[in-house]
Amino acid sequence: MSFSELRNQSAVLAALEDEHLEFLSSIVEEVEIAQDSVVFDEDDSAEAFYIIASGRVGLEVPVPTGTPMLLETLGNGDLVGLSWASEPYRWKWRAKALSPTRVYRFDAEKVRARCAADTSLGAQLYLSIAKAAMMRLQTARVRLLDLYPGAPG
Amino acid sequence: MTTVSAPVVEPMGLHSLKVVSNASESPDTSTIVLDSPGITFHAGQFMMLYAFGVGEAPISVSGNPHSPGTLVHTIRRVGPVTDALCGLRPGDSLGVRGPYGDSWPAGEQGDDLLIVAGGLGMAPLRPAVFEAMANRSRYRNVSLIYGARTPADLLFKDDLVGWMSTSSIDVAVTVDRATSDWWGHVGLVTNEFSRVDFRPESTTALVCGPEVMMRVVARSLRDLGVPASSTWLSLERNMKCAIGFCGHCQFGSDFLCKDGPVLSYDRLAWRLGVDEL
Amino acid sequence: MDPQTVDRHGLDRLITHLAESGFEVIGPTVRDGAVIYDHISSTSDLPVGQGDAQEGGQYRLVNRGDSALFGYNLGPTSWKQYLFPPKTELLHIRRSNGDLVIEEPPTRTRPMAFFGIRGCELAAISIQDKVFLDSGYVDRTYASGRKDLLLVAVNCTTSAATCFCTSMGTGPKCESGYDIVITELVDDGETRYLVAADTERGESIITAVGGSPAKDEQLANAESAVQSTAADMIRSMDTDGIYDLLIENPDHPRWEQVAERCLTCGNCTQACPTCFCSDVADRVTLDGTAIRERRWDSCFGLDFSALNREPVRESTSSRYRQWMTHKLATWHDQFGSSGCVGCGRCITWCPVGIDITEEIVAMKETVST
Repeated sequence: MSFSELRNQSAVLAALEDEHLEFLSSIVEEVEIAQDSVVFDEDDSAEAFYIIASGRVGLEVPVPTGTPMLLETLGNGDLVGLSWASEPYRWKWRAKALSPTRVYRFDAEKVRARCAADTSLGAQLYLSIAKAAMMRLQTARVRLLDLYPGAPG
Repeated sequence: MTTVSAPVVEPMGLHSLKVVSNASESPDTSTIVLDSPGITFHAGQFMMLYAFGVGEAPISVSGNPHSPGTLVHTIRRVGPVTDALCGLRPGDSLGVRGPYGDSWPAGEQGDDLLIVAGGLGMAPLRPAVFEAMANRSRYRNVSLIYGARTPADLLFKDDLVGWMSTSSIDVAVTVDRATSDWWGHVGLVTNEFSRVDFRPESTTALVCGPEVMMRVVARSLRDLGVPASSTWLSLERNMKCAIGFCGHCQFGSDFLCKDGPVLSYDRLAWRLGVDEL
Repeated sequence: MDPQTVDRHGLDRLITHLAESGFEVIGPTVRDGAVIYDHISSTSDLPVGQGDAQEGGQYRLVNRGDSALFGYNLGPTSWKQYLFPPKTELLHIRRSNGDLVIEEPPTRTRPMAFFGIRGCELAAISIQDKVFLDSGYVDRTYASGRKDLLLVAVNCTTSAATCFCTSMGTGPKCESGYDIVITELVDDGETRYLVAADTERGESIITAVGGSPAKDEQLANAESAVQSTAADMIRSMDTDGIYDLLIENPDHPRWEQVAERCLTCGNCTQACPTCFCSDVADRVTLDGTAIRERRWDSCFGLDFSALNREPVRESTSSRYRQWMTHKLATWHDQFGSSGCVGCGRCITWCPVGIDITEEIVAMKETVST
C-alpha cells in the first residue's frame, strides 16, 4: 500500500512526513483478524503495533468468573498497542477482535530500530503516540469520575 | 409604576392528570406516561410534576413532540419527590404545570446535527431525535452519540434498536464499563467524534448530560472547529418555581428555568469555568 | 394642584379619610424597640419624636426631644412583607375520587395604603414590580396587593449613617411613583406638613382632607431640607463600573475575606426590600389537604442551590458573591436596573456589620492596582 493511502487511514500517522510514511508503508502488513481472535495478550512481548482499517478491537481484562471486563473499544483509524513503544515492551491488556477486523500491522523492532537511527522519525512518531496516549488518559480520567447515574457496583 | 387591573390566575397552579403507564427503564429510572389532552411541548422543554403532599420537581419531557395527547417523562429517583413520582401506578393522579423553558434549536438548513447524550441526558434529547427524524430533510447527516454507565443503564433501548436499523441517523452507543459480550463501545462519548460523520463548521450540536461531561464535550467540539454558538447545552440547577420568581436556578444572569435550560456554549463558556457559580 | 400645607391634624384627617375610603392603612410604628410597618389609625401610632441611630450591625431608637412624625429612617422590616408576604398559601390540594382537586385560595380584595413610604422604598417596589408583574409571568399574590395600592410617600429630611440612596438615585426626595408626598417642615417652632399629589387619586384625597396653599418660602424650606439631607449623607457607593468589576472578578480574594466574617444568616436578604427569592413546600393538614406554601428563602442558605441534595454553592464566599453580584450586577441583565436602592438595611441588620459599600471600595482598590 502507498504511504498516501496509509496517511488517510489514521490521525496517528497523518502528521508524519512523507519519507517517514514511506518507511512505514514499506514494512506494513495487512492482517485479517477473525471475530473473537486475540490480537495480543496480557504480558506477551510487544512485537508490533496496529492501526485498525476496519472493524472493532476491545482491550479486555479476563476475570476469574464470567465474561472479561472491557476497558475500552477501538475502531477505525485507532492505534492498537502502546506498550511496544517503551520498555519493558510487554502488553498490559489483552486485545481481541470484537468483530471481523482488518488491521495494518507494523513490526515494533523494525520501527524502534529506525526511530533510534532516524531521530526525526522518532520525534514525529513518538509525538503522535504521545497525543494518542494523552487522549486515552484524559478520557479514562473522565470515566474514572463515574459521572453517569446508575446502580452502584 | 406598573398598574394592575385584570384578575390574575395563580401562575404556579396545577392540573390534575392521570398516569397511563409506568415502566422501569433502568434500576433507578422509570418512564411514566400521562394522559394529557391539549398539552403540547417543544423538544427540550420541561414540566413541573407534583406528587401529592410531597412536592414538585422539574422533569424534562422525554416523549415525541409529534404525538399529542400524552406526556412522557423519564424520572430518576434522587429524592422524596422523584421517589413518589416513580412510585405512581396507572390510574393514579399527579399535578402538572408547564411546559417551561426554551427548546433545542433546529440549526441551519443543510447542517449536520450532532446529538450527544450522557446518562439521563438522553431523556430531554429523545424528543430532539424524534424532531430531527420528522424533519430529516433539513439536515445533511444526523448522528446520536449516547454514553451511559453500563449497558444496563441505557434508557430507551427499543428506540436505540429502531434508530440503529435506519440509515437516517448514525447511532454510536458507548458505556463506561462493560464486559466483552457488549455490542457497543466502551469509552467516553468524545471517542465517538471520529466515528460519526459531521463537518465541524456546519454542525449544530445538542448536548445534555452531567455538567462535567458537557464541559468536556463542548470543549472537544470547540477544538474540532464546531462554533461555540452552534453547541447547545441543557443545564440543570435547583428549579423550584419554573417561572423566574424563586431565584434558585440563577446561573449568572440567567434564570435557567425561563432563559434556559438550553443555552449556547458561547454564552456559557466563562460561567462553566467558575467554581460554585 | 399646587402643594398644600396641613398640620398634624390634617395628617390625621388624611389617615382617617384613607380608612373610610376602604383602604387598609399601613405605616411606621414602634414595636420591640424598632420602627416597623403595621396597621395605623392616627398619627399617634407613628413613632412620634423618635429618631434612630444606625451603623453596621447597630440600631437603636433615640428620643429626638421634639414631636416630629418622620424624624427616623428605616427599620428592619420593609413594605415587601405586605406585597410579597413571608408566607403565602398558593394552592390547596385534596384528593377526591382518584383526582387531585386543586383550589386557589382567595387573595386580598381590600386595597392597601402605604403611609410614610420613603423614596428608596418606592424604588424597591418598582423593582419588585419588574420581578412579579413585568417579567413574563404575573404573581397572583403580589398583583392583588399592588392593585389599587395607594402610596403616601415622605421625603426624607434626615438620613441614617447607613443610608446611601443618593448613590443609587432613589432618594432622599421622592421623584415619582407616589400618589401623595409629604415633607415635614419645622416652621417657627410649629411643625407643618407640605403635601403634594402626583396622581388624580392623590389630588382628590388632598382636596377632601383640606389644607392651605403652600407659600413659596415653605416650598423653598422643604426643598432645602431634602437637599441638605442628601448633602449630609455619610455613606456612598461608587457605582461606576461595578457591573464589570463583579462579573470579571469571581475569584477576587475579597470574597474569601468577607466570608471570614459572614455568618450566612440571611438577615440581609430578609431585610432587603428587593430580595425576592422563595421556596415552595407542602404542608399537609389533618383533614388531608396539602397546602402549597411559598416562603421567603435566602441565597445564603446551604440548601438554596442544592442539586440532588448537594449544594452548588457550598462555600460562604460563593454565597456572598452570589448575593452581591446578583444585587449589583446581574440584576441589570435580568430587570434593567440595579437590585440595590441604597436603603442600607443590609448594613444595619448584618450582625457582624458587613457593609456592601465597603466591599465595593475594597474590591475596586485592589482591582485597579
